[in-house]
Amino acid sequence: MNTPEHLDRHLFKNLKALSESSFPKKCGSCGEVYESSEQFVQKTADVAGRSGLKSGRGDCGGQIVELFRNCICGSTLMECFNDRRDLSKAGLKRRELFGRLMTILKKKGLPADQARTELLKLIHGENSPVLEQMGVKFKSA
Amino acid sequence: MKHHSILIVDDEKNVLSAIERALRKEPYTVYSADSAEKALQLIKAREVSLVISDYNMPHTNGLEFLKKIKNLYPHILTIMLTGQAEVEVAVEAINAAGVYKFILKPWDDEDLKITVRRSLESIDLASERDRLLQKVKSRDAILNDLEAKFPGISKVHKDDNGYLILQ
Repeated sequence: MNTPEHLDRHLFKNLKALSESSFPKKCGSCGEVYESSEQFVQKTADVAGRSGLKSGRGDCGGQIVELFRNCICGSTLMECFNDRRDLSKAGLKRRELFGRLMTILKKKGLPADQARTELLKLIHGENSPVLEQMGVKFKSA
Repeated sequence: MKHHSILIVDDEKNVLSAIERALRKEPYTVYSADSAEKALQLIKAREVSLVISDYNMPHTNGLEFLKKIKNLYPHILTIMLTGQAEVEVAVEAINAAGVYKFILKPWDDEDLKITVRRSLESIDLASERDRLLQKVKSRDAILNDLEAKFPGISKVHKDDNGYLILQ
């Protein structure tokens, strides 16, 4: 299931607003108010059919994620987030494992988008009938 | 290359900051304005080579704003930044407002830097072309004066093979 809403939820799970104080956020063109970062993602539309995500460097040089969304009036709004990516030793190991699993699933013929979605389901504690059907078994920690 | 100043116009302050961050290490002065009105005041007060403007802005449409710049300051190059991918908007921007480039949000920082660099290079080339044209015109004027005073002095004689004959 890759509906825009579904993608938005996944997209948002990994992001954290750099400055929650920027909410409520008001559109300068129509005055629409977005109370929180969740509402900002839910009530706005993607930009020209694309994810609207852009990576950049913050004022202090750290990696940030810039998210562009179109307000209901059509004006493009932007908010800065940082990635919740865990850069600890354990986090890096998990990412390496995730990458290895992606490679295996793609070799088994699963499209990259779907492989990522199914793996994310497992990470979030959900079932993945697709992976189960493929004979992929997971041990819980 | 001459030192240039760039003006970014967008009602979304986060966009202004993001472009400023992207161009931070580039050798230009970057000004920003969150409305077309403020941008026009800034252009009056400072020398600006390039304006990068949003399409959707409150009070003034970005296209109208860029048309105004084209009329008032024809030497300023303009780039339109938009989150709308409609071809009609791009065509009108290029045809009616003389927009040099059309960039979609979110932009790629490297592409943006290259686009800005090329825009400014084209300004430098145009000004060099104007300077050389002016030089040629003034030399023409001198030759015309000489010809008026000494008829035939500027006449060039060539042989059958096209070589110049010095007399």
